[in-house]
Amino acid sequence: MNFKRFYKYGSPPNYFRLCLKYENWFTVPGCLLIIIGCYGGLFLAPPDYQMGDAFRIIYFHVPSAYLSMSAYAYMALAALVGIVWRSNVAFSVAKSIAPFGASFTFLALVTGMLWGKPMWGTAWVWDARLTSEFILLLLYLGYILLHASIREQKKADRASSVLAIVGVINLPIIHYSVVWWNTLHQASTISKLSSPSIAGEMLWPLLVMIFGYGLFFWGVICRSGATELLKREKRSNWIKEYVEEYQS
Amino acid sequence: MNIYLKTFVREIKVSMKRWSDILTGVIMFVLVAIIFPLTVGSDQMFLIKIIGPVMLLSALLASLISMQNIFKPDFLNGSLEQLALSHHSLNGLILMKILSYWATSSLPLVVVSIFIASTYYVTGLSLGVVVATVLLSSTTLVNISALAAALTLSVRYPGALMTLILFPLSLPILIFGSKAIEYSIVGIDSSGPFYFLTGMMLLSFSLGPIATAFAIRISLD
Amino acid sequence: MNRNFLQLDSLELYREDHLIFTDISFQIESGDHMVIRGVNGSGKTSLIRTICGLTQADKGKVLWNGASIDESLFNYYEQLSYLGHKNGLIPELTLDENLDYGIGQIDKDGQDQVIDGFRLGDLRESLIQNLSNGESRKTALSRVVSSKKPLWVLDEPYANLDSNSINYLNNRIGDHISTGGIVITSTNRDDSITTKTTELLLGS
Repeated sequence: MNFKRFYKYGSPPNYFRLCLKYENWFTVPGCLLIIIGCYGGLFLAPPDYQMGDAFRIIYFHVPSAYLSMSAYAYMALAALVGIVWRSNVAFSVAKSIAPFGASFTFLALVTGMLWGKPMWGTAWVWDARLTSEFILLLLYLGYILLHASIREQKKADRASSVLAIVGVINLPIIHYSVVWWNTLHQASTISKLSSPSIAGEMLWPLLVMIFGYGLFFWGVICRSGATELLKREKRSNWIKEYVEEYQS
Repeated sequence: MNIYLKTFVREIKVSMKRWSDILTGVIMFVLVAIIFPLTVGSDQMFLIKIIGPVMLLSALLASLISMQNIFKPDFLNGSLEQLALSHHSLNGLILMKILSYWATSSLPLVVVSIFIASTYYVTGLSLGVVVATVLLSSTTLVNISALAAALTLSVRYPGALMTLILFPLSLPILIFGSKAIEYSIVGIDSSGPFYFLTGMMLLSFSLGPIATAFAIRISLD
Repeated sequence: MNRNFLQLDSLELYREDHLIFTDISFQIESGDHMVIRGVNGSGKTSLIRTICGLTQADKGKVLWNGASIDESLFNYYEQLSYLGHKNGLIPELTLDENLDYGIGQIDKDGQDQVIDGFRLGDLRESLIQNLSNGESRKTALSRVVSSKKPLWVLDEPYANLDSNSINYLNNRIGDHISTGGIVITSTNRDDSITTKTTELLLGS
């Protein structure tokens, strides 16, 4: 496989053009899938025999939770690329993922609490999944705050990237500790190896929502990443050329 | 004499001169630990149940209070720069700094924990387990504190930020440390948590100084 | 000593969106004493820190004997002795303890000579925190000036010094460059420096 083709997207002008070109190819299908998933989940799927209609929050909770965790992994990967290859593109991507990842984590927590109320009677329970999500939120906030506290852009990028990498290494350890510490959370409804334990009509809207969230997320990161890149590259020639090209 | 050994000895000497910093950590440890019986209740059954979490929490808060002392003074007087510009491995030099910091800040805590635990009605083998747990968990905590301190070196008022960085990373130590003590008090075999704590210690000593040294170079930029 | 040369190649640095210096290119070699001159705030310290590899330049390279310092940092540091804006001394330890730590290669007799040259002989057992600014600065200078490493980089070494010490420092620098060393110093004053062989003006 020819990796050289991908290397050129590491250069800021190419990445910038790529983002602007393909942004809508992600956001629009993403939104569409979310709408379809919502319709399927909220209206078409039959109510769960145990939880009634309350289970429908799963269509918002699960995609948010998955996305919050995978976004952190992507952020740490971008951080690693940024440090090793000294790439402004990678740092821009990492920086732009952070607030969105944090928001998804927050959403996952809120929807988890909303789900918990009818399920277990209380809004918050100290189980493994919710607690891990909360710790993940703290990790995101640590990254965002560290970046914001250091005035020098390059230094901030590099310091917060170290934090992101250390965080991702610790994440499985933290998660395992919290799980070991006892959990009430229901067993994962979707697992890769065994067949899911929920009915088909309930499953497809969930998968659609997960894909929809993912696509929408990447679309948003395109735009946000491009903006962050502009901040870092504002003195470069390619921006001047781009603006001239744009104005003509 | 080997430069690393020299560094270790020098750092110990300097920490001894800055004894008030060590004392601050120990006092924090003691104060947090005695707050519980004073405010919640001094019933033996209750105290013996919470000794685990209390020990770990006190250790965490003590490291929080004295975290800045690892690098900030040297950053301000320029000696950290000199370490970074030496032709010796910064990883090794930082490891020596962390080790000496551990020796001067955590060993007193280990000694004090014996007394605190006895006031919590812990006796016999469990007392030994408390000491061993505080000893083991302090090694990892010291590495995480060093990393957090190094990352926030160039931030003027890093207080809450250091807490925010320290807390999630130290959570596994808190959980397994308190469970180790709890199990031993209840009578269950606590070797599981101890294996974990030892594993974390090895992991943190192997990766910690490298990450910390890297963070220091970033902060010196 | 071998013949060494240091090259600065189109260095550019921005700090918090302000341009500190741009297009700095220079080459100096054994026997050179380069003086970086500029008013306060013109970027002397930033340039010196970039030369030492503490600060990453946004553009350009620093080359030691033809090789970029980024690639062989430890090699470069084996040849570099640096005195920054801060003294690099631990206040709670004595003068002797600080100088004995010697991260660089120490030459005990040479160091004793320098301590006497700077008139610090009586202060060996004093804690650094009890010394005056000038005395601490001289102590820090002693560390660099007694070093056997070929490249000496000193940030405003003449500040806070009495005229005797300035003379002594000039002598030491003169000795060093005549035996093949390279010295880089910075200053914010206009007066001429006797040992200077080349000059770089910042902030124009």
